[in-house]
Amino acid sequence: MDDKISKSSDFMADKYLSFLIHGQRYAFSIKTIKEIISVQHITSVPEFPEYAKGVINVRGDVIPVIDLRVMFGFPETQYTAKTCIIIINYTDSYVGYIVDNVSDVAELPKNKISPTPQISYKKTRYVSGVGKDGNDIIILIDTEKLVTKEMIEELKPKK
Amino acid sequence: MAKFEAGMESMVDTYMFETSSLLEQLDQILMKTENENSFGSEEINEIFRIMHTIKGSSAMMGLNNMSHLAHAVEDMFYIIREDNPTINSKNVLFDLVFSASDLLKAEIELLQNDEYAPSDFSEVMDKIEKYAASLKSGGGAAEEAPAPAAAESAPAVSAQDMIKVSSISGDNLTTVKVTFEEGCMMENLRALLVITNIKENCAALEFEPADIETNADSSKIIAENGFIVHFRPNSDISSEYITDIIGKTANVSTCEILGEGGEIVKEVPAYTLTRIKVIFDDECKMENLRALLVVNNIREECEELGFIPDDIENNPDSADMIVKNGFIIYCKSAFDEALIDMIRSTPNVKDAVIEYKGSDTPPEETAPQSALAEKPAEAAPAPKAPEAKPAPAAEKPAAKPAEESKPAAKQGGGVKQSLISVNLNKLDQLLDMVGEIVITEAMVTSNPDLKGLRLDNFQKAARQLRKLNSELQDIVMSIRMVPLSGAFNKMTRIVRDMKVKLGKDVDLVFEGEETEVDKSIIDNLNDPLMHMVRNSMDHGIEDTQEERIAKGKPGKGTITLSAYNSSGEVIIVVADDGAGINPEKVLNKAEKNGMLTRPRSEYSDKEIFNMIMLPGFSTNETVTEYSGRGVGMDVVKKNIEKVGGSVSVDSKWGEGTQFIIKIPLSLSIVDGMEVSVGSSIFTIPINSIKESFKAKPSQLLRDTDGREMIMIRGECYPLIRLYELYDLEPSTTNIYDGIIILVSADNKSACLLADELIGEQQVVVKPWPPMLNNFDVKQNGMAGCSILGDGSITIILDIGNIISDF
Repeated sequence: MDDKISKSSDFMADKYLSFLIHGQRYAFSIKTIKEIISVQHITSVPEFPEYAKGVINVRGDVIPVIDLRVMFGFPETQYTAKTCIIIINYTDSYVGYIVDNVSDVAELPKNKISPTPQISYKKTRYVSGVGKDGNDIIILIDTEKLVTKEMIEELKPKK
Repeated sequence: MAKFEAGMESMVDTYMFETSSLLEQLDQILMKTENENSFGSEEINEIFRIMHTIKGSSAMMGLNNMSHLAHAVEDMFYIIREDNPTINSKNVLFDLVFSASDLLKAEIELLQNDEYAPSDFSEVMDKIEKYAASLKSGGGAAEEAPAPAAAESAPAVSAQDMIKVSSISGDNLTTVKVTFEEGCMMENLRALLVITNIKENCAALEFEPADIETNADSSKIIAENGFIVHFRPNSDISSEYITDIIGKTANVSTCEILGEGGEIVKEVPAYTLTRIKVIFDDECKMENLRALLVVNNIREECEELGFIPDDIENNPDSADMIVKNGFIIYCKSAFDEALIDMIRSTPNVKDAVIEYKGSDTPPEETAPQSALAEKPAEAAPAPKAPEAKPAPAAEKPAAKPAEESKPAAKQGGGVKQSLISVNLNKLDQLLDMVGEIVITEAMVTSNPDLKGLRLDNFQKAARQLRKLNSELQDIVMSIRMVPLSGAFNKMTRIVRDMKVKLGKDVDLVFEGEETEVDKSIIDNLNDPLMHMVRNSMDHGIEDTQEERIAKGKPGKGTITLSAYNSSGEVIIVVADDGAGINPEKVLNKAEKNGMLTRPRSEYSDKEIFNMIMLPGFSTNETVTEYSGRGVGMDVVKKNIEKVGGSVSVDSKWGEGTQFIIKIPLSLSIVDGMEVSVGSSIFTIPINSIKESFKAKPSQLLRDTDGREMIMIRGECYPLIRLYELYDLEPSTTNIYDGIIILVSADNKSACLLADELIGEQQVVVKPWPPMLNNFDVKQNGMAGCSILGDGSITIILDIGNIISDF
């Protein structure tokens, strides 16, 4: 991550895109985001785990999409006009994440972020910190950790 | 590439490309000469030339270690060429050159890393020097070789050493001011090149600034003030000859001869002339007139033209000179290879070769050279427009196609092509773009808005568009096709090395090496081929000749690499006439490793042989350097499957073994049949479909486990319901409502049940995004995906993978 920070310009450094899932605010660092698109037709792929909804076609790129709601263990809901796919740029590919609602860009300098609380609960694995925006709490997600091999192994449906 | 200045990257690319192709050429020459066990003068010259070029361009890139190694080899061949010593230990010589070539290749690979640190070649260089020294002392008469040769044979004669050798005495020095092209960078190294080029022919030599080799800042001084050289030529050479060489050195823009007081006496224009050597048919007589014919033939095409001997028109004696030294033409032309063609087509011309560098000239030609030195000076009185590009990039590629066409012409009847080299990335982009066009075409012509409309003219135009698109696609694919000969030739080297190590005598035979395959596939073929050839060498061919003769086979083993096209696939066969595979032994081993799932008697020979490609299988008891670690054949299988191919093994105990590789011609565009299963659309590659039909109740059978089978013309095939396989919701579960598709791959067949056939379409294969590999999609029979005309995504099925489990 340090590597990435040094590459991008300063004004992106402390900015986070916050979004809602099941009423809670989460956020991705803005540097990792390629684009935000509305939900489009998703081609389901057999043998994908339940949270990986399938693949979409974004201007010729085939991009897998993951429903964060399902991944985080919340009940599935119908997609609405507010549902968005946030496309994250990984070094060699893109992955789209379905979220309930994109809210805004929050500026969170380092002093407003407290480290991940040490709870031995699996969801904290991909939490990089907890930000305070006024009275609101924003859970910061480390996108790199969302797609690690271990994560995928753990979330694999038991056969 | 942090090591190089910014803006030099394209030069680095060119350098790496050129050097590696030169090294490849070198390997081929070496293989050939080693087989014949003798060096022809042509081969020696060729090796010399290759090393000389590598030396020069490496020095120019600042890669001194490579330059010095090349220099050492060049020196060795200089001795061989000049002194013609009797070479007693040819093997040592070949090993030395091979190891040097390997080191250089490895270094080029390293260069591609960001953190490049020059390797130390001193060990090999020591060996080469020692060997060169032994050649020299063994040469007897060679002791009297001219002094410059002695100076050359020390590998790293620095420019400073040169000065010490040549203490400046007397005042008949010529002073020359050399300026380099603006922005050519690294002027100090270019200056060094000038010095290296002329030092052989100078009795005395001095230059300012003197520290060009050690002080990188000197390049600034040179850029500002020019590079001053004082020299006195060897007694048999005119000073014009020296200035001529300077003028011809890469990137030199002007070369001015200065008088006593520093005033410019004469300006020698820099030019980059191509040097062509023409050889006439033996015994054709009156070579001088024939030479005149050649000159007249090409005069129109050349901007500047000079030749040696230059008095062919009025001096009949020049014929003898031509017979002895060949006829040398210096010219400037935009189309060197066209020129060569022209010369070759002149009557009685046996061959014409571009030699291109004046500094290669052997000393005995000095007499005619002085004549030449004046000639181009006359021919080019007008100041020349500066060269469009820095010379190292511009000059060499121009000469390249001609060089390459030379060996090809010798082997295969003289087909000459005009070649350009293109970055593979650009071709990939082009292919992607064509893929997009194919998709877009489908998007337009089968647009839902057009449904129900009667559009005769539109349909006509659409058909034309489709035709053009498919032609475009064919052309793009053909651009990417490269012959397998490159991959095959690499094997000669491996066989050669193993022959020496294992002490087996083996011939490597090629068949159909001109067969073409997509570039991206070739890159993935090298490793598997190498494994298979090694396997054949190590395990296939018997250990001793006696063993072979006892079996009634020739003592010398043969490994055959053959390739041919067969219905959209390329088949490559690696065959040896060795011991073959013992099926008993394989079965025993498989049993020991617990790999058998059925009673032994139920395995066919074919199945048994293919076991050797399962992971963790190696019948050889001992592990050798080359094979027998139990990895290898399964890696071969994996690599070939990665490019969509398949491998099988066939063997006759006692007679030999064959590995048969089948690979698709191209990876990226396939003809597919689209079928629907519920709301999903799958694409089945057409070449794995045998037929499709509606099932009749009489065709359906069940075996004792209740598995469904379909009987077609007396044969039973297992039925795979796609919706069950992938857990989908179909529109119908009734087998008689759906469509049955008979598919086959790898000698297995099965019937797939889908809801409906949608139609045939060409699809562009998109690999799965890397992250999806974590989901095992490929292991589940999904080869890739593709985007359809309406923007939706279809999954391309890997039939071989699906039916292998049934």
